[in-house]
Amino acid sequence: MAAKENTSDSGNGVYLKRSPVLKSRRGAVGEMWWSQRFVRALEEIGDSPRLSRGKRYARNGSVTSIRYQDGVVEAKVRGSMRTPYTVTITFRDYDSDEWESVIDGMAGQAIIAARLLSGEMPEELEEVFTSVGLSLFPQSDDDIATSCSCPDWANPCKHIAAVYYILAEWFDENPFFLFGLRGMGREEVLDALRKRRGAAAGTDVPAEDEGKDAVRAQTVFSPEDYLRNFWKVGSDLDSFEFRFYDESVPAIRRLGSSPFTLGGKDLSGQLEPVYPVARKYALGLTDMGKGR
Amino acid sequence: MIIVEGKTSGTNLVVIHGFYDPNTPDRFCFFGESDNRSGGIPTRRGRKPKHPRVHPHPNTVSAEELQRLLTGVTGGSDIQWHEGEQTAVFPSEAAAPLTSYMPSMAAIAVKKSSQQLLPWKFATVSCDLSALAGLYTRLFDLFSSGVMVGDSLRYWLFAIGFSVELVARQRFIPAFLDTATTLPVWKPVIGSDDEERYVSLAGAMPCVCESCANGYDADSGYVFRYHADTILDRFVTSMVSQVVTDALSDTPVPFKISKKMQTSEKEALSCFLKLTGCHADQYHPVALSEAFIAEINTWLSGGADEGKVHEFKTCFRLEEPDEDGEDNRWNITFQLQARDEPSLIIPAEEIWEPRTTEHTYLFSRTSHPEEDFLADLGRAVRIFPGLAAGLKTACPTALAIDTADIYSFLSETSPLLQQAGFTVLLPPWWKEQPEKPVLNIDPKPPEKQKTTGSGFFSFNSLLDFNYTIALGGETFSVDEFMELADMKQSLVRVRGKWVAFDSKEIKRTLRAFERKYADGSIELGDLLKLETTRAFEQEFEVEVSSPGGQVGEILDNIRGVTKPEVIEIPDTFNGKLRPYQLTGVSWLSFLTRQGLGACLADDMGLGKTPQFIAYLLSEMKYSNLPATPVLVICPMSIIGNWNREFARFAPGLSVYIHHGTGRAAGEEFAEAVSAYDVVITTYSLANRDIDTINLVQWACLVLDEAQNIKNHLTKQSRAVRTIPAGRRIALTGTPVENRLTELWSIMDFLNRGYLGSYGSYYKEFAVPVERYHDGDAGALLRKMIGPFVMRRVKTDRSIIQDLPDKIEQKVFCTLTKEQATLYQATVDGMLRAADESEGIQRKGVILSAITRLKQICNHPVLFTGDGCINSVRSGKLVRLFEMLDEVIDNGDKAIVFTQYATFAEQLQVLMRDKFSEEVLLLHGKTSRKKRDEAVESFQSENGPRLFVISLKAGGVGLNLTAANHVFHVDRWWNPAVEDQATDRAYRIGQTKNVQVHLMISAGTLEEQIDAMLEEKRKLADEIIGSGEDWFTNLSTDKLRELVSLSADAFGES
Repeated sequence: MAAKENTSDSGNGVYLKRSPVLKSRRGAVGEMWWSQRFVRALEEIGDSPRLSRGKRYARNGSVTSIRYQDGVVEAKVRGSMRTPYTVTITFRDYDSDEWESVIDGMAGQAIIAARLLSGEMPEELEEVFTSVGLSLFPQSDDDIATSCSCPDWANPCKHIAAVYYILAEWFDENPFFLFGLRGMGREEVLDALRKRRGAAAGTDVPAEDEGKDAVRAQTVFSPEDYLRNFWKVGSDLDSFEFRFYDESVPAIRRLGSSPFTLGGKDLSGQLEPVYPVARKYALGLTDMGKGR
Repeated sequence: MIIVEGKTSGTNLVVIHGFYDPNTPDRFCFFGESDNRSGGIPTRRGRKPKHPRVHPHPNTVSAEELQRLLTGVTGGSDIQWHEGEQTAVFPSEAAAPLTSYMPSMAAIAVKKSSQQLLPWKFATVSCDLSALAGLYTRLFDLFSSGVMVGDSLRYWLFAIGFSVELVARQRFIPAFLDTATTLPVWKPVIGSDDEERYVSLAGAMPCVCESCANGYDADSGYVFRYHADTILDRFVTSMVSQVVTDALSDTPVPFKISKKMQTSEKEALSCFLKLTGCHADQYHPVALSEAFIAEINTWLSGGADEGKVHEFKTCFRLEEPDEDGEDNRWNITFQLQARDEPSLIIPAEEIWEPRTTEHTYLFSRTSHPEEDFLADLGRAVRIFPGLAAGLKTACPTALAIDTADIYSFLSETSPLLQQAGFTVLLPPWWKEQPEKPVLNIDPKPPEKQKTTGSGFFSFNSLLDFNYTIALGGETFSVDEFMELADMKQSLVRVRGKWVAFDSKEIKRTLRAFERKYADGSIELGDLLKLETTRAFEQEFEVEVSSPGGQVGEILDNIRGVTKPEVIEIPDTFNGKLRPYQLTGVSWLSFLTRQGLGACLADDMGLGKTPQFIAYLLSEMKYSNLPATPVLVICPMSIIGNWNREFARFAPGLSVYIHHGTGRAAGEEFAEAVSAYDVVITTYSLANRDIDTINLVQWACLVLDEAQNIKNHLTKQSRAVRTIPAGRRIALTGTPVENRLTELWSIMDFLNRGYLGSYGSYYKEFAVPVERYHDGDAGALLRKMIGPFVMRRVKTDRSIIQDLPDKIEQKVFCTLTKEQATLYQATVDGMLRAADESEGIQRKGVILSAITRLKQICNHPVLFTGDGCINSVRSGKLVRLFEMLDEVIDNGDKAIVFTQYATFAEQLQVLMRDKFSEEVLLLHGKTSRKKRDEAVESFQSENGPRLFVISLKAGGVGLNLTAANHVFHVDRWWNPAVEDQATDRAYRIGQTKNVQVHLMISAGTLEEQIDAMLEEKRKLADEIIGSGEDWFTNLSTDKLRELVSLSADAFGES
């Protein structure tokens, strides 16, 4: 996944979003499984009136800034007072021992590296964290410390909730920041995994760019060719065999299930009924039948 | 089938072309050329422009005319045609475009610098791609209409077919139209297994399509923007999207929308609603979050072969469990295959180990091969979720898989993985020769009461049979097998061998078999079909065991275990058969004695007629052929030929010719013919007099030039099939196995029902084989018809060793009534005038009359000068065209000689219109340069196939060895002159047999003179070398004898 970098360095921190307003206008927040999981972690500990008000704040622009520095997310949220409240959310960095055991767990399952490398956020990660007694998503006060300058005694208050939602949506686009909050970036994780696999560092040779992407050599126009064979098809056509009845599997299955759902359904499953309809129609265009 | 009247006015030739312009991606354009040339480049003065000026194409067909022609084919359906104009560069010479129907001229002239690409403006009509898809099958009817289909259009029929095929094979996925919009479309997926075909399709695109797509602009000239690859790519993409969209607007697929869905979801969804055709109108562009689009794109790109290109491909190898191992788990092991050296495959274990030499080679340019490998596995797991189980370790090398899951891996997952660019190595028993269950059919010898009265079988005789099923060499009863198939497992091990099958399909098929033969008996025809195809549907192989007796004999013959016994040719046969001919006769005899119909389809010139006559004599003498007459049905043009062949080879047979105005009818006919051995009639009379003909129970019915019944719907074809006959034989020289409509009609005449109904045959064989080059369907059909069709070709030296290099054959043609009337009138006039005049005057009268008689034999128009030249007015031309048809069908080339220059010109035009291809012409007025060009073009491999030469111009020194057929339409009387002409083809450099066809109008002076030459009578010596002067010295009586029309000279008009 090409994570779009909309953070920017500005002095002493990283702005996560310039104008932190939720894009989602109604309903749940977070489209990807990890951000949904992140929201769930919040919703398991918060009470619903505060959460829904927090969500409204996140949508109506009450969160005026949000930035990240050294494991701390700091945000300003406008409330009933003239000065905005300050919300801080501190994720606990895992120490090197904890990371070691997480990386060990990851290295033990090639599927995690396989998915990370092919641009996915592996669902198997959660299980790895759990197996070493940690959690990728904040689950307890140990993991995450939140505070707000508002007078509400409850934690999370609506301001904290608002920031949470903003973060969740941001994770949609930047899943690997979840690692960052725990003290390690995606590249660092991949590096560590690479070391675990024992691929000798010394053999690293920078990949040469041989212009492989220039797929086909540019074909130039040759008037001689035109004059010689302007009207005729190539002889290849005589041996061109059609394969209407070769094995046929809906190509969408190649994509596997979609990484998101719509209306609780996988998009691939929603679209698959299109295939037999199209197949039948296309065969109908050919005057052929197969009774044998 | 819709026949289009292609000749627009007079004898205009129209060629229809097609092109696709990526600038108007949802339209397809047609344009046309006619031989009706108008305009040209006006000469201009002044400064030469930077780029050539655009001029109207002189041969363009107007948009209205194009529409009229196309609508004729589409049956007037309401297609929205758009008229337009296009400018494109065409090869041109002398300020005129070279037309597509003179391509060979272009081919030879490249060497000359006189040709250049010049821009021409022409009219187009276009329709949208949806209309094009609807028009698709009907466009094929253009081939049988009067217009010529240009290669450009033929090309696009392939491209449309390919697009439709991709949809039929479900090779398309959703995608966003472009990065700027959230408009989803369906786009084709070209898998690695289709890559080669796709590239060859792009490579076959005629330059004209490229030229038209790029257009021409007077300011910038010809700009080469779109290469064939791009044009095809854009077309297939648009076409696939269109076909899927059309399918869904036909049958929308409901997209499940839950009421509880959140707004953001609904918005995202609305973007996909359009894809399914349901609520397509509700689609509105939505702003999806960039994250969501990126996520969708990542997901979608997993399906195309767009993974990062590594040095190697990841492979999966399916490995069987050890034979004696306890563990019966299968393994899918992982390997890495070098891209540039596919034979180098190393197991994944090595990637996890310290490096070896191969390693270094394979990974020399990759920094982290294991990461590339893992990324590949990450892609693969989306397609094959089961793979995740194998990746739960640190260094994955294999996946264990249950036997129960193997079948779906083999049949569904592995093709998907292959399409996604992975290599899948499967056990040989799956891909190469998937072992199928075998139906063992054990027919019992027929009981007496089931055979027909005569003791012979017919195609419909019923045979009782038992059957069992064998799998992996083990035999099961049907019940046992059903039990086996009932197990959910689709993979069983029988005697140490794995056999995979789709148990659902196999049970369905077996039930279908049981239903079909519910009473345990099978018709002989069906049994033979099972034997020849050795298959029942796709699921079963079939083995038929031999019950001995006659059925056993038939089966043995079909299998080639035995050959038909060589029969004896009685000495009533006045001639000698070559060995292959004796084989043919024995084969005819064998099949027809068993009550089976046979088609002898030997190449023209191999002597089908003498084979049949020898067969007839032998059967009359040695078999129990009923004493009733034999009916020969042939085209009118060769009735005389048959009569003469019977007289020559079987003078002992009595022949009755049923034709002419005073022909017998009803009982009178039945009575009349009962005294004869053979009755000859024509197809049209067989149809007209069918009730009369059906009064006789014929011993044998023979169709000569059986392609005359090719259209099974015509009355003529239907009538012929009703004629009662003990034996049925078809003779034809066309390659029946390639003309599938014809093949069905002939087979249905010979062995009714064998190829099924025409409707199912058309769908299962005709269209797949002819239109889509389906090799499997073609092979199956060839197997089925194999036992009933014997076709030998001249070039097959292993069968035909003793064929002379030059075969001369006389072709006796029948006059039309018009010809006969004119002929008779001319004869009468001449004889009267000859009686009344003397000396030089008499000589003049006779000479001019002889010339006129010869011209009348060629074509009445040469005499009447009424200008209406068509082939049906001349029996000779009818026959000539029938024979040229065969020549062209066999991919041969022919020279046609005549002694009349104007007739040569007329012939060229007639032939060009008839065969829709270029016909070369050479006569006295042809310039030296044009002559050389014509010869060179004829000799080139893909050059024109027909060449008309006036004999006088048929100059010495021409080398026309590309031809292997020489026709002499009229006779020169001087064999030396004819031979000299013939030698244009039959000379050094000729590698094929040359067939010389001397066309003679039966019953006319042509035949008389031919007979004289043949018998080398005294007169003949005078004839040779002396032109026609000798006629003038004959007495009027002698003259009458020579020129009078004999009774069988003409057919019905």
